[in-house]
Amino acid sequence: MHASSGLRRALARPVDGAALAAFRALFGALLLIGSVRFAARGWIASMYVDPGYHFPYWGFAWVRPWPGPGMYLHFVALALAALALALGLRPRLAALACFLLFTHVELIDKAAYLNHYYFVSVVLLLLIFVPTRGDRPAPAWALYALRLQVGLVYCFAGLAKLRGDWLLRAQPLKTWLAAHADFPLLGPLFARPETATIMSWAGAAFDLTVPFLLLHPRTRPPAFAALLGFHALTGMLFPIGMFPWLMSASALIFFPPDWPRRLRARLLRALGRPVPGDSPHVPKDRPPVPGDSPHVPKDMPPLSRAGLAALTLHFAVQIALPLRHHLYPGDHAWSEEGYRYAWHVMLVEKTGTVSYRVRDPASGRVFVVHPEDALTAQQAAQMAIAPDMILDYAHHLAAQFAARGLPGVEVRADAFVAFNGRASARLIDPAIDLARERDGLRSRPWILPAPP
Amino acid sequence: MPTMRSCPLRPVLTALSLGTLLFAACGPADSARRDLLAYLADEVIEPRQAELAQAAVTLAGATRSLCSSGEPGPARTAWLALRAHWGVTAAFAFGPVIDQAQAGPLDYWPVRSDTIEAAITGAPAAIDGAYIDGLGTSAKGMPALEYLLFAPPTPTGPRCDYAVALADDIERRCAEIAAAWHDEHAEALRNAGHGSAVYPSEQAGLDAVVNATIENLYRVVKTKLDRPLGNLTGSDPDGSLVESRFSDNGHNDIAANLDGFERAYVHEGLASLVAAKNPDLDQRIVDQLATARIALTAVPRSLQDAVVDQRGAVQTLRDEVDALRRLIKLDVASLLGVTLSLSDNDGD
Repeated sequence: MHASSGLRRALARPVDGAALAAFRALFGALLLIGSVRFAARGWIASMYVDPGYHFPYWGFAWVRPWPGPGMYLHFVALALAALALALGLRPRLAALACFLLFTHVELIDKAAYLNHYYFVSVVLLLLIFVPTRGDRPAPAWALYALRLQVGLVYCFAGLAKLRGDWLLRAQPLKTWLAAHADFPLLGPLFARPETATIMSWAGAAFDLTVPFLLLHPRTRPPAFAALLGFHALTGMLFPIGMFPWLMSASALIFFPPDWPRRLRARLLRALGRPVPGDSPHVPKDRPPVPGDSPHVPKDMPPLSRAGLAALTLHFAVQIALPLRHHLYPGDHAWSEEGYRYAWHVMLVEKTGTVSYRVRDPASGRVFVVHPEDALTAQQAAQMAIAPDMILDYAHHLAAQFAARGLPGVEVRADAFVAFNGRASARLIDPAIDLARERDGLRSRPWILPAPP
Repeated sequence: MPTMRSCPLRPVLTALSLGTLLFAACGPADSARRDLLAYLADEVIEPRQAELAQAAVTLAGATRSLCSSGEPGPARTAWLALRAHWGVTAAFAFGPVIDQAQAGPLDYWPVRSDTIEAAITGAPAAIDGAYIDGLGTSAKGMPALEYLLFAPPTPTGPRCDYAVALADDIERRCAEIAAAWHDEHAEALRNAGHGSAVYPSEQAGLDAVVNATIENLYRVVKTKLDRPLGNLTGSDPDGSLVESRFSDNGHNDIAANLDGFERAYVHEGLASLVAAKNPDLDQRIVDQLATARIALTAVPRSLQDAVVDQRGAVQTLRDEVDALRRLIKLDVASLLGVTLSLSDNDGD
């Protein structure tokens, strides 16, 4: 009890709120840009309006796209909420609106899952509770929570790379870098297999260490430079959208909590303008301490027990989710069991193809279904490598045939996947009637073992 | 603990970094993909498109002769020759044929005879290109002309005038495709990633090539075999759904599609990249192509009869071509880092 009280008091230690405000503003701005970019590329229509079928998340099948122009209005609302978040207008309410609107979109279709979309949802969830008014002090827990959240992304992304494919076979980087042999200046290097090995090891080391290096004042500048270089390079090499921008901006949370104020002061001094609060008695490069100014008061009320419990629960979930794949047999990068929400970023090169054999037991008639005809290219590509989505579509086919007057059909899948440079192999037991298999959190024994 | 500011190794690290970049910049460039794209553009695709255009010219002339002589033989022979060239070029159906939206007007199947008859009945006395342009895809192109040339009766009068107009339309479209390849697209593919206006990287050019080979094989599996076999509808095989059924040329169509794949793959084609990275996979592809050809040989020449009478043999052919498609779509695409289906969505 006493320890809890001490911890709650320590977590309530006041810090300058400027960094949190900057984080909120940058995050809101990127969310706004991302929403506009999403609309401008026509993805609202191609991903949420045009498709006749969406792959539901387990337990969230009730989340559907809005009819008519609803999805467009949804994105307008999201952009406005993101703008409010960026400007700091009722920031918690704006964060709540962004969280609900963004997460609703993401829950419509599993085919659209991206790690950085999940990251956006989780950070928006935190921003609902984190005070981000730059003109007021903030409790330390707010800063620590965001740092921990960002740090977990890198740490789990690094842990996920500690596997034979990544470190010993340099896959999938060997394949991906060779495809960029015409990249300006570095292309010839990318064509060399040893480059993939070096970059694989460097990438794992980077992910595992960068949050810690960003925390330490001496290692922060080179670590941040490396981070910017890393994300710039991956952004140029791979079609990962807003991910490099999000992570680069998020890394600023590891800087001292008053970094925006210091940066502003430095800019004003460079311009020869007076700096508010500048005192000749205080060294200009000394970090502010509690009591220095209204931005950092001496004391704040301790974090409530409920607040501590909520934080603990949140991060317990954030740590458990990326580790849950250990509960499943086999290689999770092949089976994708426990693969989502685990920061397995750019970890595998997988290509798949699937067709279904639908058998009507009453007549014995067999139908071959090529799902590409009814899905978008994005959906078809994602489904072909994900057993849970193959199962979803099997259930969808069974329902479709039932609606056509053929109830109780058997649905079997001929699914093949090429994985990290290995020869293609069957993913699903072709003898299993998937129409009879239920979705859920339990392991799926009908997923065949990964090829050696 | 030294900081970066005071680190004595900084000059060494800087020199090493610059040296690495210099080495990278001056090091030998990997020209395999560029060589492949140049080979395909100059030695395979552009010549084949030119042959297709020339075959279309021959067909147009032969169709005119039919109207004056009443002898359908030369026109039929010319149609079969054009069809063979078209089947080959299907393996690299990207670029102009897509940009100009030519595939539908040239090769829409299944043919709708009632639509064609209605178009003939409604045609003006002098059928011109504008009239043909205004028709739907099911009333024109190679299948519609095949219907007129091969299905009785031998066309005469307005019916033959319509056939000539169709042949002229086919000639014009094939010429447009060939011209686009000759004037711009071969160069664009050859220079992919090196100033190409179409392909911003070598990989983008390679993506287009590989995706076209996959689409070619997929079309054989699904449209040319699954459909007449009744696989898509769970029904009995139906020979009337075999492509080129009026000329009974479905067997040759598939042979030409496999020929086209072979031209894109062997020699200095895709095999040059695949064999360099994974010789075993290259051998599997060569073997699978041979197996698919053997399966095709085992199917009687009349595919529309064979789907009914020799369903097992046709199903085997379908499965072997599908196995070849999988090798390209999965193993080759994965090996070469190809982006399938050219989806522009983000990933991570």
